Amino acid sequence: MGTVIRWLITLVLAILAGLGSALYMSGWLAFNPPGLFRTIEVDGWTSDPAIGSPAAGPYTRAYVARRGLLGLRREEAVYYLRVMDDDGQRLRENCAYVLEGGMPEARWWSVTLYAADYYLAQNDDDAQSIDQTRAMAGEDGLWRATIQATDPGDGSFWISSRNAGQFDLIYRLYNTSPAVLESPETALVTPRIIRLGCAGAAS
Amino acid sequence: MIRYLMAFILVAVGIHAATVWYLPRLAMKTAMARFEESGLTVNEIAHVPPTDETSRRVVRPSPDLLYSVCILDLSGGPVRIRAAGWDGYMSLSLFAANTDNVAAFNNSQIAGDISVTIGQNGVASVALGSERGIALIRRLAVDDASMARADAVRREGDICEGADPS
Repeated sequence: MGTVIRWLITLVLAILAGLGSALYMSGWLAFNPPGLFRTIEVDGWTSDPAIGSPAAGPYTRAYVARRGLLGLRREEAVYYLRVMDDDGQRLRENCAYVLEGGMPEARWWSVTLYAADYYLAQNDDDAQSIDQTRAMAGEDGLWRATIQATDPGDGSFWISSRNAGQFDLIYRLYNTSPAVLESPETALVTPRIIRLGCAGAAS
Repeated sequence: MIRYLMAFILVAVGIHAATVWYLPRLAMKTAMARFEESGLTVNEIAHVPPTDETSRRVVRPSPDLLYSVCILDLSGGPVRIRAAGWDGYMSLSLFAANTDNVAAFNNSQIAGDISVTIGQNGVASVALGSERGIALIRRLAVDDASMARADAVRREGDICEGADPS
């Protein structure tokens, strides 16, 4: 009887260990596994060139299935993820940010805000993204958007973080240039995320 | 004691590998089931409403793209898809049951309508590599006027249907 129980305990623990480690390393748990979706990192924006590709490793494929299902392979589109502001603080709803950048080399691009569940934030503000067709470059050649939970009402382009909690941004570039594909570290134009302040905090 | 340790390692590694292999297939099955639960039938085009905060069938949808989808079931033979031409960015992409994006065509490569025949293997113009999968048409439409135009275009011209074997 003791032997049977020892075997049962061993098998149950092994199944839990195998299942738990697989879910963790594939990014199917709430917290991020180290390394995944970080093959490329440019100014805090991270990506993996194997998204959508038959050459993708099993962990990348599982990660994308959970957090970016139906993502296109890089020849069609590239996706960059951002979870921190320029000061390394987690993006969150109770803070206000300026998103600013130049025009990247792409047929079309956008930056979209997603809540922690990987869907659009549950609000009806109709202000989830900025894209190439709506980004207006200023005299310095940069476009800007304000990210915060309420409409700034100052004429700036608004991306709403209302009900987003801790959120992230996805930077999509469709039909981008060979230079961006091959040397993103030098060729990719990345938006900055400047934190203006946070409700209930000193900064 | 060594027997228990060896058994633990073997079972844990096996479960780990099987789970990592299965997760993408589970995600695709779940997505296809959600589409089918909403009334979509296989090998028929379905026009997804404009993306908003209530769009929760597939993670990270773009609110700037209008999607049409076809759940592919190639068990009865190849399937033909046509994506009607659009004057902004448009693409037709094909996803196998393991999430691989096996092909993508856009309207800077192909002028006008994009038409492909999809099979499980090389007989058709595109080999999906699995019996089931998803075809997705994306059209850039960032405002109400372009959404309405794109919606009319797709309802008029998009097709997903069994390919005539003759």
